[in-house]
Order: sequence, then structure tokens, then C-alpha cells
Amino acid sequence: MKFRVLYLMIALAGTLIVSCDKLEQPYAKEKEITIDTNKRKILLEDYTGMKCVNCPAATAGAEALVEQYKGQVVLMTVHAGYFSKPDASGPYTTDYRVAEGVNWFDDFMLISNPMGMVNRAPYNGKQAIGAGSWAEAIGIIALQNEVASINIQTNYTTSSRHHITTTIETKFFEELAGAYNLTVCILEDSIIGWQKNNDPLVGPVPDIENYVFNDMLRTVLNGTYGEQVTNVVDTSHTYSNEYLYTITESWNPAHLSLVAFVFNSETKEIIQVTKQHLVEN
Amino acid sequence: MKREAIVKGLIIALFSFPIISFGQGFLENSQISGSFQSDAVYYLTDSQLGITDSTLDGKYFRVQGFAEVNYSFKNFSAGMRFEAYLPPLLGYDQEYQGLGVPYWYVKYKNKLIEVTAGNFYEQFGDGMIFRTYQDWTLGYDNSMRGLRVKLTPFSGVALTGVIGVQRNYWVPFKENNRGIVKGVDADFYLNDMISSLSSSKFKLSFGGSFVSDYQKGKSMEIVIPPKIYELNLPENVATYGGRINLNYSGLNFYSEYAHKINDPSAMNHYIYKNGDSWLITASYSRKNFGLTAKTKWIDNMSYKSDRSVTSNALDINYLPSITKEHTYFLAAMYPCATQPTGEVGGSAEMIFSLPKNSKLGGKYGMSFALNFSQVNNIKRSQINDTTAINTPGTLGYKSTPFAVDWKDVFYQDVNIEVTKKFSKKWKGIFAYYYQTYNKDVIEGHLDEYGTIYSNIGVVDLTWNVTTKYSLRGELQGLWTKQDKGNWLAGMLELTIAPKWFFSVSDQWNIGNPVSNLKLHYYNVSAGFIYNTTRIALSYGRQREGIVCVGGVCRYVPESTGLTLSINSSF
Repeated sequence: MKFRVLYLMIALAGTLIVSCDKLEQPYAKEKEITIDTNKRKILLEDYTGMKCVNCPAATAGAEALVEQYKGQVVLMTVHAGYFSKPDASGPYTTDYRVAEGVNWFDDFMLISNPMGMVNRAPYNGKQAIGAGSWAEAIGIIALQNEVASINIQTNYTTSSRHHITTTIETKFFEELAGAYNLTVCILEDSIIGWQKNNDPLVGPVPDIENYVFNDMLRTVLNGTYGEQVTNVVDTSHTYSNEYLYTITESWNPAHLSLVAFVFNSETKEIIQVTKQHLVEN
Repeated sequence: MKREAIVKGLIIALFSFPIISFGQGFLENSQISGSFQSDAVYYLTDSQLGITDSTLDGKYFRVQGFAEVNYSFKNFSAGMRFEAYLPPLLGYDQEYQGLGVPYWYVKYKNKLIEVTAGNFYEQFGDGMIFRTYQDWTLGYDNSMRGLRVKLTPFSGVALTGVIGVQRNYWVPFKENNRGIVKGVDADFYLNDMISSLSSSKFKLSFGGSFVSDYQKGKSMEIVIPPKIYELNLPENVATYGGRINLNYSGLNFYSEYAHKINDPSAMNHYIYKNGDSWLITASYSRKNFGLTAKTKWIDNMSYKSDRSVTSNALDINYLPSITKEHTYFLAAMYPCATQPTGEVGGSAEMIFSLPKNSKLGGKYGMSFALNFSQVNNIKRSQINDTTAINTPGTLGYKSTPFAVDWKDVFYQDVNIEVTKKFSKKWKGIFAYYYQTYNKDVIEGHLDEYGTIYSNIGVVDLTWNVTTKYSLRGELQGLWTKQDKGNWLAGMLELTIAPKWFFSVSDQWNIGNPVSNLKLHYYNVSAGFIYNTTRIALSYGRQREGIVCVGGVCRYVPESTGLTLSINSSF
């Protein structure tokens, strides 16, 4: 009996020995990205904070993803979480948080900074994804076909300063089950401010005095979870939602963009996203 | 919900089965044991500490606790632990928020075999390739859920096999969100195996282990701005190691070595270098004298069951600390955290006592503890002229075992503690520490704080007024030109045996270079002990810092609040 057990253990040890993958060089190769306009667009939400030392490197990675995917990835940086809370005094007194962003941070259990979401789709079972896994999560969704399109038509002229009228048209290509909502946000680029940093490749450490915040969430036009587009998808129909908004005076219209995304009301997974600059260069 | 119901049903069934089957026998032969702990804090805003409603997230009242019960009947045992974090206290990982039964097991044991199904804690050797454990102080739990088999086929031979997945807060296991860990371990005790050696003073034991983690995914993408790279990944990451222990009279020698194959992960910047760790301990002890020397080498030995994790979670192995853990407020202000990506260190401790009624020892004797430890960075060199150290997707760097980067000191501690009993009623401990603390490395900053050099003195006096009343006072000082400057601390503790204790304490940052930050971190507390139950109530401020147990640390933010702690066991 004892010997049988011993043999069993030896067999188990043998099994374990083959449980060892020794790799040979090269270990890595540059990814070749083929942009296919029939594939769905992806919203990368970067939950960040001005006092988060690891965030500039994460944001630099996110911007590289936007650059590499050439229009297929839309970046939105959301200031929320412990490291986004302003100090009472000192250089970090500006509050970049937006109520809806804080709600998303809490609801999707982002927990800390830098964390993010890729189309709010689960990756390894969780919607909140560490910065190191954003590329992988995007790579998976980037292969999926487009199931809807979003068209943004905005009426804004310098003479109508501060007033935006925007119409969002959504068209589905497949009879998707469930209800779908639309969220419309305004982002701003080129905001200069203090940012903590621990990556010398990104900028000075430990503080960057003139850090350039891009793609920063400024407001959400239609609430934390937007407005319902439809509860029964009809591919023959084009859904239209219109919004009026008065932009805050301190924002620079030349640096503003509208981002609209459509998502499943229950799972919150985003099926399409579009970004449009308020003032086309 | 369904999972919890199954677990609860299983435990109830296990507890009920012997009742039904064995009736009176169950009552006579079974044992139930358990423990309970609850920590509740009502946090307050504190303008001096900058704590506002916003920093507390509006969550002023936080409670966390657990209740564990274990049942045994003849060769069978079973147990479970319920935990609740509603929400977790400040300084604990907020991913614990929630409640449930993260730990349950059933076990059968006889002379030959022990089988555990469910959750278990296990350690191979000193843990350098495998250790699962739970520490409530750290808020740490990496228990395995799976199967463990232990065999004792011959006297002096112990074999262990494990397979399972690790706890990751409350996140259920899914194919890709962590690995499946499996391992075997063997221990051989020569003096038990060979009967002629059983009474020998010379004792020898040795052992070996093999552990493998399977995480699905042969490739992944990472961003190294401005490019995206595809990495080839090893789905099976293996570690193996061996150990030997020699003992002769008061002499003891222990050495353990572990080796890990390529394991690119977020912890090591996705490099493919093999990992190594080596621990050597030698000690000698006789009456009134003890001497211990240790050295360790850690090179790229972070080993987790999810390669994307950079926090303390999902550690498969444990890298022992060789530095001394201090308990006095100011001596513990700058503790040493193990650096799994690389460190090399040594320590020595000598303990000796001057006997009672000797010329120097006096009537009651006197004891001394002298300790030294230092931890440095390991010496790394580039793999070639064009590849920077730690470039992802490469071998990362070259290193030679025990090659020290002498310029990069992580931690150093030189200390002496003298314990002297003056009379039947008076006893004192006098201690001095000189510590070097590389705050950037140990706390994970980059060129933000630099290295802190501190001198610390402690006087701890105990006055046993009567057999019932005793009074203990501490006076401490920390002097440094770096960080927050000098500190003073004091504590007074009254114990009314056997049930009551009261204490007041204060840590005063008297040397803070910013005048309005020369703050007091005061605390008043009272406690009651009844048999195995302890209830404590305290009010005061918590100083910011890190808390470490065995080199594993967690960050604790500043806070002010009222704390109620209850723990009990049966």
C-alpha cells in the first residue's frame, strides 16, 4: 500500500516536471496592426489622478494605443479615486473630478489609479483592468465586427459661443437583444497642471509642473448612464437623440471634443463609440 | 449566492452527519474550536491631518471581522471562516469590500495519509517557492482552494502534494484571471529514517520542492510607448528548490535555495531572466548565550499566480525577511519591506545574559540583545550595450549570486536592547537603534524622498505596584534630518490584573520642518479581558506609514477615530 502511494507521488512529480515552459529568444516582436474600418471602435477609459505617481506612464501607454490603432481607439481620461482628490493647499488644489466619472469609478469598482476599462467589457472576468492589460483587452475587441454606427452632428459656431446643439444618430447593423443607452461626454485637451510622476521617461520626477492633460472628461450631457436609445433594436431604423448644452466659459472650445457611446443597458458593455472635435482644424 | 449556499450546505451536512450516524459517540468524541474578531472604527474629519468628508469617501463607519469555527470527529475535521468588510478599514485593501465564506475545508487524517479538500494553508521549506498564509494585521490571505494530500509512507519521510487556485479577495476563479498552482514537496528526517541515528546528537534533514503555475495565454500585448509589442508567454512557470538542515548540540545550520524559470510579469517589467533566491542561516545557542547569522540573495523572485498583478495579492511564494521586527512606535516607523525583484542582505544577532548575583549582572541579572542587519540592491549589468536594464521582452539584466551593489543601500539597522530587573517591583528595557531607510525603494517611490538616517532611543520601565496593579511607561525619541524630522513619543499603561488595562500615548512630530505639521498623534485606550475574550476601545490618531509583518507590508494612511476591537476564541 505504502509503495503504491509512493509510485503515485512519483508519477505526480513526473507530471509536474513537464509543467515547465522554457522559452527561447526572441521573446517579443512588434505588433503589426491592420486597421479595418468594419471593426468596432473602442473606448479606453483611463481612470487617473493628479497625485497618482504611476498615472503619467499609464496615460502615455494609452496614448500610444490610440496612436497605433489610428482612430479605432478613443481615449477618455477620467479623474476619480483617492489620488484625484485635491489638497487644501499646495500645488495640487485643482479638482478635475466630474460627478459622473466618480460614479463610474465607484460602480465599476475601479478601486485605485491607474485603472481603466476597455469598452466596459469584462476582461478576465472584471471590467476594471490594470494599465498593463489595456493593450491585450483592446487587441481582443479590435477584432470584433461593428454592430452599430454613431454619427455626431454638432452645431457650434464662434458666434454662438458657449452654446452647442448636437444630434447623435445611432444605427444598428444587427438585431441585438436587450435595451441600449447612449452617453454623450465633452472632453478637453491641453489642460496644463501639476501631476505627480515616478517615470523619468515621461517627465520630471516626482512632480511635473506643466503636465499636459489631454482627453480629460469635462462633463456628461445626459447623466451617469445616459439616455435610452431603444429597448428593442430595429436595424431598419436610425435613432436620433438631440442635446443642447452651454459650455463653461473657462473651457477652450478649440480643445473640446464630443464623445458618444452606445452600450447595453444591463451589462453596460459599450458596442460603439465615436469622437468628434467641436472645432475641426 | 449559489456558491455560498452550496458551501454552507456542505458545512451543515458535514456537521450533521456524525450527529445522525453516531449519536452519543459524536458528542463524546468530537471537538469544536473557533475564534472571532471584529474591528469597528468611526472615523472623524480632522482639519490638521487634512482629513475631510471627501478623503473618507463619506464612509465614516467601517467594520471588518471574521468568525472561524473548526469541528473534529475522530479522523475527520471540517471548518469554515466567515468574513465581512463593510467597508474595509482605512489602510486595508478596498478590494476586500464585501462578505462571505472565503475559507472552508474538510479533512481526513490517519497515520499514512492526510487529505484536505477546500481551502488550506501550506508552506514548503521557508516558503521561497510556496507559501499560503493568512495575516489579519496585514489584511493578507492567499489561501489555496483545491486539494492537498500529505503522506507519511515511512518514518522520517513526509510527502505533500497540492493543487488549486489562490484566493484573490472575492473574485471567483475563471480560466484566465489567475493560474492553477500545483506542487510537490518532500522532507526527509535522517534520524527518524535510520534507527541507529535516532539518539544521535547530530541531526540531519533535507527536502526538496517543485511548484508550477499554469496561467492560460501563450502571448500578450504590452505597450512600450510609442509601440505595441506581442510577448511570448510561458503558460507553465515552474520553480524548484532544495534545503538542508544540520543540527549538532547547540549548533544549527539551515540553507535553502530556489530557482524559477522565465516568468515575465508586471512585477519584473516583463523580462525573461530566471529567478534565484538563497537563504543561509547559522546559529549557536547555550545557556545565557545565543548567536544567529543570516544571509539571503533574492534575484527576480516575485512569483504570482497572475502575472499582471503588482500588489501583494496572489503571491505563490514568500521571501523571508532577515531584519529584526520592532514593536516600539518609533523603532517601527521605518520597517524593512522585502524587495522580490532583487535584494541581498545579511544579519547577525547576539543575545547574552549576565547571570544573577554576578558582579555585573547584579542581584537579578541583566540581558543584552545586539543586532545588525543590512539589505542592499543586487548588482545588475546590461545584457548588451544597446539594451537598457529591465527592457521588457528581453532577459532584462545579468547578475551574479551575492554580488552586492554597495552604493544602493535599501535598509540598515544597528541596535542594542538591554533588559534589567532592578528589584522585585522594577524592570527596565533600554534600547538604541540606528536605522538607514531608503524610503523610495521600500515604499515604491522614485527619487521622491531619498534615504532617511535615524537615531532612536527607548526607555521602557515597568513598576509592579502590587501583584494586581502594574504601571508601564515608555519614553522614545527619534532624531533625523530627513523626512518629517524628529519625533518624541511617550506611553503610559496601567494594568489591573487580570481583567483591565488602560493606556495613553502620544507621538509628537516635534521636528517637522513645516511648523503647522508639528502634530501630535495621541491615543487613549481601555480594555477588558474575560477568559479568552478581549474587548478594547480606543480613541486617537493614526500616524501615516507602513506596517510590515515578515517583510510583507501595507500602507496605512493618517486617520482619526474611535475604534472598538473584540476578539475571542473557544
